[in-house]
Amino acid sequence: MIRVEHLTKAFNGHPVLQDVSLEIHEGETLAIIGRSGSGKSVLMKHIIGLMKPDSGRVFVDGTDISSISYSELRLVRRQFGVLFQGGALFDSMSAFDNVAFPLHTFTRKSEDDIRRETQKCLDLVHLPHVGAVNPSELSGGMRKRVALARAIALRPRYIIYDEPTSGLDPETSSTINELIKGLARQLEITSIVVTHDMHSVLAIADRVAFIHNARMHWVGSINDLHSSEDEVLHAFVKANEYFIGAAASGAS
Amino acid sequence: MNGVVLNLVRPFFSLGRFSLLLAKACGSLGDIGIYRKNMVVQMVRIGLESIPIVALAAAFSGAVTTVQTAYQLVSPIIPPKVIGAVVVPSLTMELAAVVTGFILSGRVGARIAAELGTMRVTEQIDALEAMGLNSVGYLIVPRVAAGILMFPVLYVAACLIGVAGSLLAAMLTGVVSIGEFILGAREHYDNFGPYFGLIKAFVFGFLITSISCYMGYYTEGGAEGVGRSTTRAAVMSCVFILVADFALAIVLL
Amino acid sequence: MKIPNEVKIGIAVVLAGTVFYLGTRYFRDLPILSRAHTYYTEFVNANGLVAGNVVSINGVNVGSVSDVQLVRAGARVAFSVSEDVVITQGSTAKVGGLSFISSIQLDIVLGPADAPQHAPGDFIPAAEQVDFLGEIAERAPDILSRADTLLKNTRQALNTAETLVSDPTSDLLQTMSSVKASADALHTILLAEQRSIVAVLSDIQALAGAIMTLAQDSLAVTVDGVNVILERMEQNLASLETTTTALSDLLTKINSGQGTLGRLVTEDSLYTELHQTVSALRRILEDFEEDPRQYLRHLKLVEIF
Repeated sequence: MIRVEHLTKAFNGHPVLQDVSLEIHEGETLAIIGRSGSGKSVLMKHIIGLMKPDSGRVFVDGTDISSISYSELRLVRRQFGVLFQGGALFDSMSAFDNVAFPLHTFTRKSEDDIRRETQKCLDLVHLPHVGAVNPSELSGGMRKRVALARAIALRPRYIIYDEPTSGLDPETSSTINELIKGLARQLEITSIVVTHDMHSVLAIADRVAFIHNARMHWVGSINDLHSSEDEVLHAFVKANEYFIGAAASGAS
Repeated sequence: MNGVVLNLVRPFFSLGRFSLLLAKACGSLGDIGIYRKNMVVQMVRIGLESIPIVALAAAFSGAVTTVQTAYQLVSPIIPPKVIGAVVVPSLTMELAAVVTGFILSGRVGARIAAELGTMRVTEQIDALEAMGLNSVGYLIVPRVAAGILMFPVLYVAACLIGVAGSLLAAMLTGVVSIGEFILGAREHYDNFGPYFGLIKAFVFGFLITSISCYMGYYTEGGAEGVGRSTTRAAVMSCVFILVADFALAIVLL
Repeated sequence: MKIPNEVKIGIAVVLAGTVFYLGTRYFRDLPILSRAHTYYTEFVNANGLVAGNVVSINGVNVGSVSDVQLVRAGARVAFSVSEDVVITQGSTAKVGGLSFISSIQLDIVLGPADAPQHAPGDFIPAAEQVDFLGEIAERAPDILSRADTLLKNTRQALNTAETLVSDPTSDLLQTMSSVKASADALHTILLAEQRSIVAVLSDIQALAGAIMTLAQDSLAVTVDGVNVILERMEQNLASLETTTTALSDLLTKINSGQGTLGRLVTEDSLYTELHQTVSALRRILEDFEEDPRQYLRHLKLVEIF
C-alpha cells in the first residue's frame, strides 16, 4: 500500500503540489488525472523517490521513503516497475537486452533462465519477435510495449504508467490499455496510471484521483466519476470526452 | 539585481553540485558489479579508440616542435643536439599530455556529455534510478575510471609517437642527425619529466571525464539542452586542462 | 575469433607500461634490458651537476646521474652505471664538461685495470676538481691587479731615476744612491712577483688548453683570442722583466765602480743606453695603463655565453 501525506513541492518558488494526500490500495488500478503541467508527473516521481518533497511524506508499505537512505530507497524502488512517457529504453542496447537488463543487474539467474524470462515478458506484451531490433528502429507503440516488458521483468508489486497512451494513435492506445488491464489481472499488480486521456481512464481504472491547481481536487471510484457534481472535474472529463469522440469519428 | 546575485552564486552552485556528484560516485565505488562491464566498454571507447587521433596529433606535434626549435636556434654557438634536449622534454612534460587532453576534450568529453545528456532528457537516467539502480555508479564511475586509467596509456602512446615524429622530421629536414638528437635528449634528460607527464595524464583524464559527466548528467531542456551540455563539456574540459596544467607546474616543478 | 575487450585493454596497458619503463631507461642512458648498478661519490662543489647528466668513462656514456643531494661537506651524488661496466678500485669521479653551456657530465677515471672491482653501492672518491673557467674568471682580476701594482712601482722608480739622470745640476752622488735604492726596490719586487706571475700565467695557459680540447668551433675562437691576449701579456711582462734587469745591471755597474761619475756624464752611449731603457719601460707601462682592464675584458668574453 502506498500512502501520500500532505505532500508539498515547489519549483523556484512556484508551487506544483500543495498538501496532496492520497492512498493507493493493494491490487487496484488508480488513475491520476489532470491537465498537462498540473503536477501529475511530479507526484509520480515522489512516489518512487526520484524527487524529495519540500514537506509531507510518502509511505510505501509503511516505510517513509522521503527519510530513508539512498541504498534503502533503491531496495524500495525494486518493488516498482515504471513505464516512462517515451519508453526510456536504453538506446545502446537491443530491445531484448533492454528487457533482460534488470534481470542481469538484480538477479543471479543463469544466462538461459534470463533468456527464457525475457522472452516470456516480450510474449506478455505481444512482441515475441522484436528482440534483436534496436530501440531507435521501433515505432512509438512498440517502444512502449518493450519498455513495459522491461518494467515487469522483475515482477514488481507496483507499476507506474506515465502517460502510457500519449502520442499514440487510438488503435495502439487501446492495445496498450488492453495490456495494462491484462497485466493487472494476470500479475496481480497494483497499477498507477498518470494520464490525461479519459478514454484510457475509463477503460482501465478502478479509481480516479484528479489534481487541479496543484491540489488533490477529487478522489473517487470510476462509478462516482459521472455522478459527481464537481464542475471542474466535469469540465475536464467533458473536454476529454469531446476530444475522444472527435478522435474516434476521425478514425472511423 | 536578483540576476546578478544568481550569476555570482552560480559557480559555487556548480562546484557544490559537482562535488556532491563526485562524492556520490566515490560512494558507489564499492559496488563493482554494476560498473565493471560498462567500464571495460568505456575503456575501449575512451582509450583504445582514441589512439589513432592521439597518434596523429602527437606525431605532428613532435615534428613541428623539432622543425621550429631548429628554426629558432640558428646560431653557430648552439650545437644541434640542443634540439633533442628541447624537443623531448617538451613532448614528455607538456605536449603529449596537453595535446592528448585537448583532442580528447572534443572526442571523449563531447561524446560523454551527449550520451548522458540524451539519457537524461529521454528519462533513461530516471528509468535506471526507478529500477533501483545507482545511476551515478552505473554511468559516471565507469567513465571517470576509464578516463583515469586510460589517459596515461594514451599519454605514453603520444610520447612514443611524438618522439618518433620528431625523429622523422629531423631526418627528413636534416636539421639534426638522429644520433645528435638522442644524445641531446639523453644529456638533458630529467628523471621527473615523464612522471610529471604521467601525473598530468591522470589529472586530465579525471577532469575531462568528470566534467563531461557532470555536464551530461545535469542536462536540462531537450535536444537543445543536450547541444548546450556537449559544447560546454568540451569547452570547460579544455579550460580546466589549462588551469590544471599551470597549477601542476607550479606545485610540482 | 573476436578478441574480448578485456584482452585488448590488458595488452594496451602492458604495452604502455613497457614503453614507459624502457623509454625512461633509454633516455637515462641505462641499458634497456640489463640492470644498472648504483654508486656514490661526494664533491665539495657539484658544479651544477643534476640528475639525468651523463656518466662517462673514457668519453663513452655508460650511465646517468640519478640523484644530487646537498650534504654538509658538499654534494652527495648517486649515479647508475650499466652492470657490465667494471669500475675498479682506485677509480675517481670528477665533474667534467662546461656548466655554462650545460653539457656537464660525471667523468669516472678508472683505477688500474688489475685492481679489484668495486661492488655496487660503493663509494667512489672524487678526484681533485677544477672548474676551468671559474678559475680563470676568479684569477684574472687578481693577476691584473698584481701586474698593475708591480708596474706602478716600477714606473715610480723609473720616474725618479729619469728625473735624476736628466737633471745635470743635481747632486750626482745623491742621485746615484737614490737610483740604486729605487733599482733595488724594483729588483726585490720583480723577484718576488716574477715567480707568481709566471706561475699564474702558465696556469692560465694550461687551462686555456683544457678549454680548447673541451669546446669546439666558436668557443675555440674565443679561447684563441684569450690565448693571444695572454701571450701578449706575457711578452709584455717578459720584456718588462728584461728591461728592468738591464736597468738594474747598468745601475749595478755604476755602483760597483766600473764607471765614474764623469764617465756617466761625458759618455754618451751609457747615457743613451739608460735613457732608451727607461723609454722602453715607459712604453710598456703606457700600453698597460691606457686600458689595464682590456685583458680582463677579453677573459670575460668566455664567460658571457
